[in-house]
Amino acid sequence: MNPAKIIKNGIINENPTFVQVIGMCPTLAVTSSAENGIGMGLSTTAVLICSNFVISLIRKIVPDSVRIPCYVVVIASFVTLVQMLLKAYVPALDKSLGVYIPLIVVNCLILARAEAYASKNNPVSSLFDGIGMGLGFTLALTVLGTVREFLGNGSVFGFAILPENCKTLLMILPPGAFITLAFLMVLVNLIKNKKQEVAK
Amino acid sequence: MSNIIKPAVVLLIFSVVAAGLLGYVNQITAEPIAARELEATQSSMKAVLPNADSFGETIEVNEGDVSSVTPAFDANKNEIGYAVAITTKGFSAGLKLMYGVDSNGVITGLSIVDCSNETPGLGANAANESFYSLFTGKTSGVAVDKDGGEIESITGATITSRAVANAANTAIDYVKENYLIGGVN
Repeated sequence: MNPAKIIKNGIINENPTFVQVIGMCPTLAVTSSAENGIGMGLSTTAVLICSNFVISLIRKIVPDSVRIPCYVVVIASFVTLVQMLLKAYVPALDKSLGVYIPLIVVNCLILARAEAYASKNNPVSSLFDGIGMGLGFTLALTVLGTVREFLGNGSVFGFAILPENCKTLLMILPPGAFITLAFLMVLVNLIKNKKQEVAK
Repeated sequence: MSNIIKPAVVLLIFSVVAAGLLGYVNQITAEPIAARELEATQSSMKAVLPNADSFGETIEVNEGDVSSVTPAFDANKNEIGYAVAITTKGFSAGLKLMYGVDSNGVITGLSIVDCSNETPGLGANAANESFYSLFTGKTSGVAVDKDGGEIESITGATITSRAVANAANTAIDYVKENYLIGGVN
């Protein structure tokens, strides 16, 4: 598959959030604002690209029976390294993304891509799969965060839009995440079904 | 036998390499991280005690939530206040705050040193100036509006707001008890 196709596959056809429905914990937990969504999405993308690449490189030397522990060691070390380096040398970035980094270790999206893609494909394709899936995840989280922030806090990316009395606090609280996600999935499925009908 | 030993050895090698790498990076980043933290602490102290000219030596306290106290001096080397560092539990543990308390027991400022364990978008909004500036000028019995106080709590984050208010009282009381005999000196 060519790189463009792999990336498009990650963003649209097999979008990790709306189609594969993986990595739900960070998706629901941190999307209380658009900024949080994009921050979590981009941090995850960075880790996913690197972990996919490394896991693809080692896929032939790791015995099947211990592949999951090996992947976890690789991913967790990688995330910890990034965290320490950010803290030491890029404190500004650490301040804005520091909250999300520990959450990435337990994001099943990373392990799922390692298992489903990187362990079966060459490093270059795996790299592009990481980019595609990461961007798909970022897109989904940003949309989710934007909708919730708009309805719950009356703002988009911190810019106030709605008047003070039009806010629905529920939307930035946990139930808002489930409600928004459900409506977005309905929307995605509607569009997909329409497309299939047209194709027929 | 080899199908037991080989996977074990591979996993061992991976773990050893990962541990070695982590140890090495930790060693080279420990110093810059400590320097950053010191820098952050000092800028917090300046922020909470804007009238201070210099700061004395930090005294480690570790009594209850109070982790350290640093005296502040004016240009004539008179003690004018104290920067009280507090580590408490907001929605989750590890909420680090720094209060400036002057020699009359009045809060001169609050700096949220670390609220990264609070919920992003809710409790973590404590780091916004619109919240932490509410504490400046408070003297005692600080409480959030839900508890009948004057501090307008953060929407959807009453627990974090309450923790910050309680810590304010802790800071004032600590300074009063240990430095200001009889309440006001």
